Amino acid sequence: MVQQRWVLLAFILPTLLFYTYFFLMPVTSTLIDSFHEWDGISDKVFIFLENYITLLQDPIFYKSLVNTLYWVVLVIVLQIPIGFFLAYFIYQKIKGFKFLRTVYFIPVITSSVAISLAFSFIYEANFGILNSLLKLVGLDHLTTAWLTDPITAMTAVSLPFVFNYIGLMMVILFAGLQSIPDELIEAGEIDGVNALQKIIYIILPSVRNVLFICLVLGISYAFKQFDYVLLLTNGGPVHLTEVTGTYMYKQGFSQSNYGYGNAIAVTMMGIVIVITLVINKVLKPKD
Amino acid sequence: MNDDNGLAAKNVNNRLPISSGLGKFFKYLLVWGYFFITFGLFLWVLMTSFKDNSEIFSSPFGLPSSFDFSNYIFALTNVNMGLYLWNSTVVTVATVLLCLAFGATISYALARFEFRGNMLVYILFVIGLTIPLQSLIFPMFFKMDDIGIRDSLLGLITVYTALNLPKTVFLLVGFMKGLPKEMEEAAIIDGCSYWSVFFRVILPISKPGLATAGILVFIAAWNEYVFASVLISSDIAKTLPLGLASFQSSQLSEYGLIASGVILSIIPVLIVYVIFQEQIIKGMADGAVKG
Amino acid sequence: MYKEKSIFCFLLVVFSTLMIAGCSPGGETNEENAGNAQNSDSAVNLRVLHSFSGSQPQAPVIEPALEEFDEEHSDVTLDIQTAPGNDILEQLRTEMSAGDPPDVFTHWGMRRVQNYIENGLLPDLSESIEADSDMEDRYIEDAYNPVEYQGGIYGLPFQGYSYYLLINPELFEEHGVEVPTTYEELVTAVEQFNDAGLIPFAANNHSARYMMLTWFAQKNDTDSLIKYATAEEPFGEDLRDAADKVAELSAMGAFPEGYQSLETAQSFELFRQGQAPMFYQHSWTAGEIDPEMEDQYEVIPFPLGDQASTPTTIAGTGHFIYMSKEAYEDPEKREAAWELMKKIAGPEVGRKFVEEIPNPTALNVEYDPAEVSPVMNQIMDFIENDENVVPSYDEQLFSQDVEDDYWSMTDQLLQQDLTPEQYVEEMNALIEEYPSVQFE
Repeated sequence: MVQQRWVLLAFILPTLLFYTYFFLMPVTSTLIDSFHEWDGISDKVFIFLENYITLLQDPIFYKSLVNTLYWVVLVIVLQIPIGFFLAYFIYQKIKGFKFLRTVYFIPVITSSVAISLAFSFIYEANFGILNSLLKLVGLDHLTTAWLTDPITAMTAVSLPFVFNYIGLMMVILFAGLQSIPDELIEAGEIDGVNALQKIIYIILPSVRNVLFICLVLGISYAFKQFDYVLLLTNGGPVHLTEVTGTYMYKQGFSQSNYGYGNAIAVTMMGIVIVITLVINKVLKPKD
Repeated sequence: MNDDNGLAAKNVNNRLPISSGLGKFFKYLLVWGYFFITFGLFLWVLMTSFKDNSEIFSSPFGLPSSFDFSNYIFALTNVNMGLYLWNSTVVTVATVLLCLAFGATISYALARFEFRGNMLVYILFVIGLTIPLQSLIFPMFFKMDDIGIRDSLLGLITVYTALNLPKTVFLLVGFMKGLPKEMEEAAIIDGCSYWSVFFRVILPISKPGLATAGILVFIAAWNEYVFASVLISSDIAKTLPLGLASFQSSQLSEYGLIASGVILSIIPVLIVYVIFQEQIIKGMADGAVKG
Repeated sequence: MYKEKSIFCFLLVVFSTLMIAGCSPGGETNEENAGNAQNSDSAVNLRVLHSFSGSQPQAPVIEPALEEFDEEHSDVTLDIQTAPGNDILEQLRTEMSAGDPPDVFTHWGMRRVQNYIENGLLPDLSESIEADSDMEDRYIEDAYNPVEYQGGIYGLPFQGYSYYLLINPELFEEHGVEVPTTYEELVTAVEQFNDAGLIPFAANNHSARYMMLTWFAQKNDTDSLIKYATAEEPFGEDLRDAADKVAELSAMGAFPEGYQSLETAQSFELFRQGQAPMFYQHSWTAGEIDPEMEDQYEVIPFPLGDQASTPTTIAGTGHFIYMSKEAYEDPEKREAAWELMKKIAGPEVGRKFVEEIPNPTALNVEYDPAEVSPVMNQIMDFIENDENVVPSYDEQLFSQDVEDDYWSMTDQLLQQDLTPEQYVEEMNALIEEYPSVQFE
């Protein structure tokens, strides 16, 4: 027994120490610094909740939060549904499905920087692929500067994010489909339901666990990935496309408002934890 | 396109038929539409990488007038893409291996042993999973600076390993809990120590779980941009996403060059992916469904 | 047995990778430096951070100058780090925050260093300047202005700037458009080019801001510009009129679609590709003109706002070289750093700036006009001979906090989120809050 305890420590301690020092301690210092005013150069001043009070009255923060929640909506109405249908059709082993699957997964392995650069080509107002295409088919009046036009900017900056992870959703859902027992589908066949009913009443409930995983994953990505915005518009023009991530980043590193940046970070942490708990409660997969 | 492709396909189609005309239309629209978006975009960037600015402006969709590799040569020599590629490879491989080594040991203990604090330690990792990682940018920066490895590959490896540990542990604990105990017990009766059980029994049968975690960490580390941009300042330690991002600056407007950088950054992962795609997709799926 | 072996191999790979990572490029820099320092015991080691590397137009002059210095001074070792273009902003700030500033670095003027000066991170160099006879009459008039703070001088200037209006005469001829000399004529030209399907100005939000500043400056001299910056006098009609003009041009389509988010080089590309006949920009862009096209372009005076306007060129000094407090307090380092600063902000580099890049210089220096590109010759002619030559608020005079906010405020004007009247009010409120204290 004594020997076993020693061995256990050897298995646990190295990782736990590493994790505590390089992950948990930074988390704690984010929390502590959010109660300070600090420009990174002068001394830290303890101001307790003042950063949070400013944050609650900061219209740009609300704007960025709304934009971030827009991403969450896009995950739910675009990313997961497209991923699901792609998985569903591929699952039917249409011709060339292996090749298709390979191609669909390419965006997932491509870096967000490369995807952003490719999309900046698409949106470029003067020779970009989108405007050129529109001109080619005679829809000149629809051309616009996609990344600065107030109507299109936020959607334009979001699409690379949606595009990036559709393939991931597809692969996960594909695996879920494969694990549906044959009997279940055959039972549906006997009842004579049509294709749509089959998806709604048989397929979707059986991949519920997997959908749950996709949802949690998608939402955490929506809060986490802001490199697209950083590279495509940097939150501009005039905060139109600001998301919480870019706002935090800019407050901290461009404006030297480290305390305030940390307060944004802590608030985001809180929001993500709450959302995750709520989804967990509502959709918790039954075993 | 005919849906009847041999017996196997027929079987599956019988399981999940999409019979109505509208359904079929929707199906092919989505399947091929998405294919053309993905593949078309890739091809277009590839074509663009062989053009110079005047050609891009005059014929954005045309084939390049010649397959001129000057953009690639410039990217590899003047912009140092070769070095960035190497740095990215070192950082990614080291991060994956470290994450797996750290993750597998603790996951074995957490999944297989009852001890006081087991749940607490596990919860610490699960909490890590919910934290938006970019909220750690500031403290990570100052911590790395304090210990003097901020602007180095070693610093990046350390940060990436820390950031990816929560999901590695989460996945591996889930996976190891689902493993049968018989082999392990037999090994212990044979007089093996826990170390040899770990190496001889647990690691080999955990391969699918390790593969899944490894792939997720690989993708995350290979593509990471924000932390790298904050931590790294020496050209000599820059990774691929950093090099790529520097193509787009107020002083540079060579679109063909940017395109060649994008292609250069995709090709290596694409090759790895095409070789291992069966395992990757299967591993991702298994791990995700079980985890 | 086989499995065990493969696992041992796996572990071997893990640890050997760690070793490789430890000594791979990132780690190497440190070792190399340590090695160099040991080789020559007495060598002074200077860490230099600059922004002129890679594809920056100034790189071909600055980089060799640093190398030359390294070779000429066997007792000094340079450890050179780079953060191209605007990257140096965040790079320097984070290094300053971490208490680990470079010994010598290049940067903009007061608009980017005021915070460092106020926190005592940069030394006052006026004594060194006075004690050094080389420094007499070395720089053009007012060259120190952006690095003066309450009687002290904190850096040495090496790069000048100017805004210039470049046109493509061929396009004017082709479409029968008169070269504009006043705002009204400019509006006519813009309409004509719009009708011809061209983009009148190859511009981004910076160009638009520069145009506004120029129309404003046509009615001011340097002293009055300082009065506004120190909140001694509020902005009034002149700024409103200037703001009104750019807002109007923006609304009538004088600028490319989505110009607010174009990078400067991207907007210039429209000019180079013959899609736009006019280009108003900062002089660093002159280094981006293809040599074979030089003869086909022309620099013209900026159109006058109204009858009360004076022909004006905006010019001044924009880039400086600094040393850190730490380097200043170490006598050996101070001497080496000072020599290096003098080299970079010296006549040799200054001449090469004009002749080779080309770029205006901050130095009183003879250059050979035959060596200088045609466009640069015209730019230098405006800087030296125009009736009214004043600095730009974008580069100097405003306090750092105003500089931080006024770009996005001007973007709001261009976006028509603010009327010119509101813009003037907001600018006055901003300056009231953060007046320039540089000249007190």
